[in-house]
Amino acid sequence: MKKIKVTICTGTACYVLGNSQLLVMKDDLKPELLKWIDFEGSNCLKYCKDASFGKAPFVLINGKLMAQATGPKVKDEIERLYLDMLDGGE
Amino acid sequence: MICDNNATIKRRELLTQIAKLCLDQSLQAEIDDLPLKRFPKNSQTTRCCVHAARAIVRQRLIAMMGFSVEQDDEKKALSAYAQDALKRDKVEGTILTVIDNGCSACVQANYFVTNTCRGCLARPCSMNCPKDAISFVNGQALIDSKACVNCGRCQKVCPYHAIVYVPIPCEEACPVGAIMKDETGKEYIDYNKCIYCGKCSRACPFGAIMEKSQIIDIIQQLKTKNPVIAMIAPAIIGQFGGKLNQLVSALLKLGFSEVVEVARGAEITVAKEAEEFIERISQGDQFMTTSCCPAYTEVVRKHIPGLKKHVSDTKTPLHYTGEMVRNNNPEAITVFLSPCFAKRKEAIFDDYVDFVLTFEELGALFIAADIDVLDCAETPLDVEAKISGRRFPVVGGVAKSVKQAIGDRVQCNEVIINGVTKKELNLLKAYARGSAPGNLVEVMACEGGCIAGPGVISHPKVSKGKIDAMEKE
Repeated sequence: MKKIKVTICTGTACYVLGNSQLLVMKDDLKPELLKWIDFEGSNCLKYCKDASFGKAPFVLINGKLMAQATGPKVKDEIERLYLDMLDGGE
Repeated sequence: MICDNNATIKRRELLTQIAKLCLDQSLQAEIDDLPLKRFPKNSQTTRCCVHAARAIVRQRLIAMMGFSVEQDDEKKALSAYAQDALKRDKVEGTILTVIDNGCSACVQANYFVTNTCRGCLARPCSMNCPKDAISFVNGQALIDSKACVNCGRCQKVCPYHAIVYVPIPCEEACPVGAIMKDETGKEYIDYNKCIYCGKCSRACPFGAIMEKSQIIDIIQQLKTKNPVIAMIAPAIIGQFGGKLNQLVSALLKLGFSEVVEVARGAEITVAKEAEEFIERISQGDQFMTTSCCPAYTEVVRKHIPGLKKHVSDTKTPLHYTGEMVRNNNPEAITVFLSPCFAKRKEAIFDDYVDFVLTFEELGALFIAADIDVLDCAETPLDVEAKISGRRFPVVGGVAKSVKQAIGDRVQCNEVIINGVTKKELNLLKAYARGSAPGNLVEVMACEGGCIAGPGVISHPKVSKGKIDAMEKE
């Protein structure tokens, strides 16, 4: 199975508007799930410069953009992808 | 305040907008339109209608421009407030303000009968009410909020669990009973009691208690040729991502002429407090408490005067830093970058500190000025503070540093008061009678220390992790 990649934008706008909270998300995830996730912080991804992407804070999960990200929303998406992966049996 | 709710996000967005207008020199020209832009017609709002939402935004902007909403003249346009803000030298008066349009005037009584009440024959609720506050209307119990004294007996005895406890979040959070309802049910702050800890402001789900910001005054200073010096609280470590030296560059980009760590002042506090401790204990004092937390010193001043003689006379890290900066540069305008609301109060009485900007306000200012900390190069500080000062904002840090400085000269047993709530207030009252369970008492009004202050951005765990990493260096 390929790991799920979670890119947390830690540019100042995203950081101030909530992504600072996502940096402690790992502590809330189960260890068996955690080993299938690649968390990375990123410099400003520039989505905040274009209103058509929605509002900060932004997170990329396997390349898919999530605007107005929150811990529970990100966690939910990760868990969904994880279950899909298990079903896929790769 | 950690960003886990919408009221926080909305406040930060609005702060960013006002900072941007001020940076663009268009505050006076455009601020009147801001409430309308936030809530155009047919927009969604949590309030009854867009007009109420706009009225609340107007009051928030008044607070963000540094004025008390309590003294709001409703006929005065925001642009007129902006004009006054741009002209003045300083924000005057109290440091907090209640957005009365925003305050939802929470329940009058804390106990409420839900519609699961069956109106039973036993009626233990009314039988056990000492004030005859419960009557029966349409076959269900009803609590008369004027007569209810919140004893909670009815809730305990209801066999159907039909009575719920409804808190008033701000009143519940206030450790000193300084916030209460006026005759209309809206909250007001009694400044004879308030310790400026900011807990009410964090607790209110309507974001109705705000600070009076100095952001406009600081932006105006940054535009001048004056040397404006950023004195950064040690809790800033871990606030914006990136390295401390990148943050220094970001601050210089904003227009600050120099950045000085308040952790350096903390080193002076440590040295003096250790000497003071040795002197006091040798003279036979039972214990000494720290004095760096301004909300705690307000607690002592307003609520436990008997404890005063046990509080260290050593000045705060901020004071020593301000003194150092001013001695080097008498013309300097000093701005404290702060995790704390109560430091504003301290700054009013300390001539070495001109302005206070919370980390949240600084974050808004960075966004408004389009400065990204992570994209900044590194600028080294002229003098780096030592870990003995840098660990101050983590609970237990002050005591640890002071204890290290005392060494084995005097036996030192530290006691840590981690956050002042109603419970710790009682504990401190007991200490005031003459004895504590140790002889060095560290008091932090915020649980976790300054890294968990009302003005922070990052989760305290992130800040603690970074400061702990420095411990190991």
